[in-house]
Amino acid sequence: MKKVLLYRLLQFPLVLAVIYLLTFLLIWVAPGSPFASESRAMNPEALQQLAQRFNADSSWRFLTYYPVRIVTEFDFGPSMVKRGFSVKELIFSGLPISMTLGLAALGIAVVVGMLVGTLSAVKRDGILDYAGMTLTLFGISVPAFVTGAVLVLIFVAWLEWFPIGQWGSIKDIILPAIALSLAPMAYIVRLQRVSMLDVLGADYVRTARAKGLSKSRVVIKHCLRNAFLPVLSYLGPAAATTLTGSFVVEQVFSIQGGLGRHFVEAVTGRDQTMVLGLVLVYSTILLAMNLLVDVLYTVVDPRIDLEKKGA
Amino acid sequence: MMTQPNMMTQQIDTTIDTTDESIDRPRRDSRWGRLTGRIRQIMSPGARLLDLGVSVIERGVSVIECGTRVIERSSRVIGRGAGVVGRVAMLALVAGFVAGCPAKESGGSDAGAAGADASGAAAGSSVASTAEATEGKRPFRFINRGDIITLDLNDMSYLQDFRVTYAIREGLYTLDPETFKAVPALAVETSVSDDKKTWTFKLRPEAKWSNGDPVRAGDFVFSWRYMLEAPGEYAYLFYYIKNAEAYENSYRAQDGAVKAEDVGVRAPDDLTLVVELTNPVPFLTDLLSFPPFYPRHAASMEPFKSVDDKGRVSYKPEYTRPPAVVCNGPFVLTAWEAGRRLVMERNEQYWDRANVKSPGVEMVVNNDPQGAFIQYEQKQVDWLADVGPDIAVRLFNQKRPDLHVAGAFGTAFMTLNCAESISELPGVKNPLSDVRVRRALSMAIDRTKIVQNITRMGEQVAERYIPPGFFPDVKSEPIPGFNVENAKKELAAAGFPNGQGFPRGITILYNADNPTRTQLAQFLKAQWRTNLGIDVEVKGIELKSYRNEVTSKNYSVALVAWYGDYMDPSTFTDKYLSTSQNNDSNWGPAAYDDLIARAASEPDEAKRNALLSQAETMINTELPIIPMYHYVNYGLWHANVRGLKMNAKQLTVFKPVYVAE
Repeated sequence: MKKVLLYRLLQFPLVLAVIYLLTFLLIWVAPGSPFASESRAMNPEALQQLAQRFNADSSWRFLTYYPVRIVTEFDFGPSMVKRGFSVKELIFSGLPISMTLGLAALGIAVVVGMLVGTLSAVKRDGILDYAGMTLTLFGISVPAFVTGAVLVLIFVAWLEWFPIGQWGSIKDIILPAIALSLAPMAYIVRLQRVSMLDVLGADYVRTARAKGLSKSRVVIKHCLRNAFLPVLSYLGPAAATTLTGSFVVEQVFSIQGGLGRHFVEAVTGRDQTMVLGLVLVYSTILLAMNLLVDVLYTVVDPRIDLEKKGA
Repeated sequence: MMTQPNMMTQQIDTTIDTTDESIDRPRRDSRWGRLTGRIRQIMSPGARLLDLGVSVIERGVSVIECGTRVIERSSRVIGRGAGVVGRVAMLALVAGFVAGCPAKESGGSDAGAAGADASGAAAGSSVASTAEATEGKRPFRFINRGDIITLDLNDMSYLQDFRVTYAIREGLYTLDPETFKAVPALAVETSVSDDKKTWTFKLRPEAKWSNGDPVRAGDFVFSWRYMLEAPGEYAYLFYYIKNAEAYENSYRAQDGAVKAEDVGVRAPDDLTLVVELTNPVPFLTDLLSFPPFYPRHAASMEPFKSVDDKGRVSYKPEYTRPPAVVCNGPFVLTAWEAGRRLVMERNEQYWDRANVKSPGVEMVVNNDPQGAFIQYEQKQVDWLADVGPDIAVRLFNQKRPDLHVAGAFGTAFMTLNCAESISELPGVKNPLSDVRVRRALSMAIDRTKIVQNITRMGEQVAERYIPPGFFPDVKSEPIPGFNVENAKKELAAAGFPNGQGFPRGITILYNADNPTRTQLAQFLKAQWRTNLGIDVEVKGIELKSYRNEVTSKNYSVALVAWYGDYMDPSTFTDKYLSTSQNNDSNWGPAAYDDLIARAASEPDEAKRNALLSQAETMINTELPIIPMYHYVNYGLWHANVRGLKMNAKQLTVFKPVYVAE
């Protein structure tokens, strides 16, 4: 177990380096410069001089300056568009916002999703099952910008219960968290239902029932844990995406300063250092989440042995 | 006096839909009617909301945009037909949420507003204790156009950055809050030599920086030289000063050919600034009121100094952030959270603080037009500086008294690539290089339809390149306007009777994030097909790629715009000098350059205007560009806001602005 963990952790830098290079390649060949504005053309020499101030006048200079800085000082350099702010500063001021929102959404998705999924399986073909399946169909197929917009419309613009564009209290988080949780929630409901149905048909469940245990006891004691595995494998990447911010939800609810918006603005503005910094942070979270899920597998199901699987 | 680059991204518009009003009207009174109206309103910016889709796909219509359209349509259908079923379903949904929420939440927005007021009052009182009587009790809050990009004077080019700079810094001249003409600020006495090339300014002795240091002439010399040593977009405005351009190039190369002392700006003593120009510049005071010409406090920038391998000095833009930043304007910057907000408090060191009426100014960031509008409607902010065009059109039609509109100092036009051969037409002579074709294209466009059906904010149809009303003494010939008969004749004379033989491949290029331009491109394509019988393509691409194609002249027809930087016709005419970086058209006859050069060195105003009129006439008749309409500026502010005024250049003078109780 420890050996596998160590092995996986040692892979991180390599994977991140490859991601860094690929992202750099993409953003470097994209047309347009982070230093050129959208209205006035600049003397190419002056533009070059400006790029030089940011160590970005040639790809060689960029690659010999920034990656070294990241490794030695854990510093992604200055933002090329939001001049006066460092990438690190922008990311770490945005991360708490996106993480709070993401955790809230993930919490809602897991709690509600597991509950509805389990109940749908237990009361198969019941009203709850049909209602749950229909609603999850919506959850999966209707994008967040629609559900988000509808929520804003009803609760902000129409009923005026919630403010918009503010951040700090629980009230500011409720609506965006709900909007962000719908898609993962729908997936969790469906995954949980299917795997629960599988487990419910298993021999040991019949045995347990035959022993005279009540149905609820069997479900809670015996089935939940076994049915959880598929959901768990989905939770890794889902956590990474929700935690690192959603541009759509941030936009619809006017949440300022989150990572989602930073990401989109960085790409459209060709903010090379910012894009690279964000991609690295995002990749690290994704890798860490996947590793965490693998470890949790062994906790949930002791039969799984990472040593054997990893080797 | 600024560029409005975000103009493009902000131009959102609903589709030209005549049914819009007819659906809305009978239902407007009911809650349900408002609800469906809102759904559509919120759906419509979907295209913008997912800019990402466009940038990834780089095609005119992104998948997401299509999706949004479908949803928009279906929501309209629901609004029209679903009736009872829809209402019941919606009510059930709402009821479910109502039941689920604790009762106190229903009073939520009131509590929120009260909280905001309380914090506002708290901030107000803390300032009021140190200030003399101000008329505003709490800080003035506004939503700027997007987030601040930079507050470094060298690199500044966005409207939102200039706007904040007007609040925290001041130059020799500032703007009159009523007329927006340049009026003396730090200059108390201005004298001009007989040849109009040497200006001497006496500085206001009581003017101070926010740290208490006096503002000296040397601060101007330092700031202006640094503008040339690390040039940005607006360095070109300094080229009117003697040796400025030569110094910029020499400093870049570090060849020592031109020294800092050779630049025509000197400080013989602490309160005297002498500026030497290469040519008479009648609009110099207007330039001096523009942020790039503001002074800077060298000592406070020293910790941010860096020297590159060639020995060139630059200052890290961090010097613009509090607490390091030292300002000299009516307000000082006290907090700056990137992407979130900016806080400015009254500058107690400001020489004219008695006339600063608000205890502070707070800038709130909200890039989403719908969200920003809701924040404005909920009175979280006093001023919405940038209104989404679809919202603006709606409010304009409702005649909302808090919507303020004014003609802008800018023109929307298309630029034509006038080169003999272009990459889109390999092996064929570019028909756009023929002035008769360009005239035909101009005469085949019914511009009134553009302003009536697409832009819909009372814009003026363009008859000339330069917006009307600003320079009555510049009298140029108008462009050839809408006239299908003559358009056909011109096209036939160019060798394409009824469009026959007109090469295929001419493409109207535009940035796809701008729905107004998307509609405009389609409209122009249809006009040319109907009126001239020629077929052109339309191509919408992502903004940065589009800018790249236009500046590298890799296009045939492109939808563009130009806003004047200073109040002089040359801000428009200089763009089409053959040597100008901003001339994207491949048009630039020597005769035009000659006219502009003669105008630049002409000290007599009447003669100068005549020369500039001739130059503009050349553009209006040879048509390297085809003007379409002149922009308007608009903004929203509540009735209790005092001192704001809408103006052609979207400038803001914050000194007299405050919120009345």
